[in-house]
Amino acid sequence: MIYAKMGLRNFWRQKSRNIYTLIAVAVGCASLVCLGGYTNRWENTLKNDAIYLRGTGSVIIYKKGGLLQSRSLPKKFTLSASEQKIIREELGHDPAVEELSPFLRMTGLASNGCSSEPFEVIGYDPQLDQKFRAKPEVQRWCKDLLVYRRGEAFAKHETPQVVGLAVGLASLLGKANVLSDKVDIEPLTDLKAYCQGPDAKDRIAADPNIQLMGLTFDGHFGAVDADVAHIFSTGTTIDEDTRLTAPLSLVQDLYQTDRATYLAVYLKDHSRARELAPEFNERLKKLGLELDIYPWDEKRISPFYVGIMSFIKAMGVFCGLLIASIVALCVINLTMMNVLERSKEMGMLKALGFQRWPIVQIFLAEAAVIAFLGCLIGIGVAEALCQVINSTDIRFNPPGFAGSVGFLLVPNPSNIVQVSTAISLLVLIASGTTSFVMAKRSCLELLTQNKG
Amino acid sequence: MVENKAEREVFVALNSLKKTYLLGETRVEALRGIDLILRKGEFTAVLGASGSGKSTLLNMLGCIDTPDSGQVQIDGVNILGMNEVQKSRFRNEKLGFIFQSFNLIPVLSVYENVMMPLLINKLIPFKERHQRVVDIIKDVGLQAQMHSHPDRLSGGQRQRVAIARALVTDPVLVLADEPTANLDSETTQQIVEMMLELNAKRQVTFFFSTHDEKLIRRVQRVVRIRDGRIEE
Amino acid sequence: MQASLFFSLFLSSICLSAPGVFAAEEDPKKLLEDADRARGGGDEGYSWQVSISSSEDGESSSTSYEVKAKGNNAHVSALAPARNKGEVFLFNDRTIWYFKPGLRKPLAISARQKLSGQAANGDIATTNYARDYSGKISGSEAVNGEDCWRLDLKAIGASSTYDGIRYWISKKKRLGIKAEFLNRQGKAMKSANFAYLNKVKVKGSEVEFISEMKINDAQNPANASVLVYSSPAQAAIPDSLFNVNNLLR
Repeated sequence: MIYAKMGLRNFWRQKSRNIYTLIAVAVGCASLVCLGGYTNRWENTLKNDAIYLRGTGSVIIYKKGGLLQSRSLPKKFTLSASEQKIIREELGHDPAVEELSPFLRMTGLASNGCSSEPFEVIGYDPQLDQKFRAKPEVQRWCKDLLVYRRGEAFAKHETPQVVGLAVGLASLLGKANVLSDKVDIEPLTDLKAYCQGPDAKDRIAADPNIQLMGLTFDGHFGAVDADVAHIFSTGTTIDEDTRLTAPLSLVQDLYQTDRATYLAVYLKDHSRARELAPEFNERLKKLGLELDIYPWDEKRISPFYVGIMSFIKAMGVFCGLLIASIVALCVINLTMMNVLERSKEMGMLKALGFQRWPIVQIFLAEAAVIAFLGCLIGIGVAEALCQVINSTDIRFNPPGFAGSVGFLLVPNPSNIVQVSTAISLLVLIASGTTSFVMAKRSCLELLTQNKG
Repeated sequence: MVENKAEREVFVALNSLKKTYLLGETRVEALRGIDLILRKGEFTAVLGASGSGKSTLLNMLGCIDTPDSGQVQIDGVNILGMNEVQKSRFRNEKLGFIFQSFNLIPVLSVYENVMMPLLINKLIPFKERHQRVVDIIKDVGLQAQMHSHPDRLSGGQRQRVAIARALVTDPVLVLADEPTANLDSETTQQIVEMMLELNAKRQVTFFFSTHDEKLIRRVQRVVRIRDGRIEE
Repeated sequence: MQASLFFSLFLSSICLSAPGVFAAEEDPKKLLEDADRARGGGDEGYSWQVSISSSEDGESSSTSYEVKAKGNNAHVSALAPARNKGEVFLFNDRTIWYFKPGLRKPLAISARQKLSGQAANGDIATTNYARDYSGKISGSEAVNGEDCWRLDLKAIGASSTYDGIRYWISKKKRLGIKAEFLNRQGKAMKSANFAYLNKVKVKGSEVEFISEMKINDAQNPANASVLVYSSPAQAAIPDSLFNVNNLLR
């Protein structure tokens, strides 16, 4: 108790110097909290995007070899209706599982009647998609990605003959401005005039109707008519020009199949994905299914998430170490000055019979006060800074992203605790080491320090 | 009041104590073979000019410095055979220090400063510690200033706090290095009187250094030191 | 005597090995036009049926089409399997339209797109290598005992079925005997062998017409498609058949 009092009072007594230590700690803490806020924002945005908006789920179940070969040999490497049923019966009632949904991912051609563009379609359950989009975590973290550029969700359409086009693909098909106005589309009688007439561009742009074509699972041509329900951004340049989404029933109709490329399992707790994926595999293997089951954060499943997060985390660690080093040097320097100035006090304490550790404790108590106050101020500053930055709606174009994204800093409590603990430890170690080294000196040396 | 020297037991014994320092390239022989005996409860002043070896002698007795040769025995213990931990414990339990410049901790109150040496003695329960501190503060006449900080006290009051801190552990030997050097003559008299009172009341051995010839009239025994040698 | 024999052998060896000499003797474009004619190319109207049997990665499929071709246009309608009946591929010069009943608009598709197994859309109808490729004669080789010119063809436009073709044309019959279809890097993706057992009457005389085209994957030759041509005939085909607007009605 008396050490804590000494710490507080010594802090106040040496306030002119301690204020610099405090600033160093506060700035370091604020920087690290902001850095953590940046990483946290991306971690959560990309995670929710991967799990809910890209249709990966927490755990993804492929037929064995399906991840690589489901598109080239779909009949052999996709899940049949009976296999889907077995999986549903086994995992659907598992208390850890929230939802389970089939997805069909294929490639084909989309046409506006005049020209065609290749697409990669994801067929999913529109009702489930609607439910996921309404989830608070998805609403919070994927705000930019949730908004349809035009149109509305499949669930709001009565017919399943609808598709969603990524911004790039819509643009390639001349449908970038589709759905902007309600127009009456006249029955088409002259394709040449439709495609090459003076108002061809406007007519194509206003017409939400497109055709999709693909090779069916039996190796024949399949084609369906569909209307554009919405235009969306995938968020990434890599698939912005090819991504097309549609209700699962439409995609199955196009490819004339009831099979699914994979089943996505949505866990109540996504952090259990790595633990549960092998467990699910074991259970399903016993039922005679040869499957490949991956957690959502596997590089092969979510390459964008893994790639971006590896980069952000590496940069975060680098910047964090840099900040921590600067804070450590400042604190060591200022503590050293403090300890040197109080060497006589140390000598007196040694003369009274204090050994090294109790003396170090006195300085640690002082450092704890600085660490506590510094972190408190740092957290306050960081919170204020985040509020200001987030409210200014700064937008930027990160490499690999389609369009701009908001520059947001969202520190999370556990990160704040981690940063505060790390910074406090740093201050305590710096102070403890310096005072320990000093306290190693002899009593006489310390008492006569000022005398030279 | 004055007892026969021979009746008291030998409490501190120094034999052929030598100490040489190197000050830059100069060899300074601080102690040149000191032989000294202090008896229990004795109030002894060591008198000498600046640089005569007084402080070095006190440092040897206080286990703060080690001699090049010779022996130091306090209360039957050869302190030169102790390691640093044992010396620390010995200093805390058996010795009391009074410094010329008081060396109080400025951020602590009188009560807390006096409490400091007891903090590391885990064998004494808190209640007893508290009582001891209160008693000794009363003994030095500072009960009214118990919760004041050193910067609110006069030089004499500060030295009283230092004396209280030195005595709170019930030491067997109190070492005071020029305790009155920073005080005016009136305060010096008061401090010496107080030390004498405490010496009589608590039967603690006092050994203090001074270069003030006026003080020696009030002291039982005076040891003179010159050029590192005793001239009693 | 010996000297004259040596001289004639020397001359013939020059004739067989030097491309410049072939170029002087044979016009590659003319050679391609002649070869195209036996594969449905040319200005005359032809009709025939083609069935495609494909075997790929252990799975087999078969389809059949009726082809009506004239000049640079062709109308290909699916005959089997039953569920594909009514599908139409309309070749308008370099544009290929795909249509099936129920669609509001036809789809523009690529000649390069896989149709079935190893066969691409461009392989199904008429062959017009003389129009779609530029080339030169690069050698002379025997293929299946048949003395052939070897032609190296390069696609003129992006609408061609392949980036390049190595094409062997019989010297005697002026028919395509073998082809290797190349990617942009000049590497063979698949190879094809042709047979001409069909006959068709053109201007009173009977000429040979393609009867089989067997396409094998270069990497995995077990993956193959066989196109069997039947009932070839010269026919009067109205130009309106090739009007894409007719698909909308």
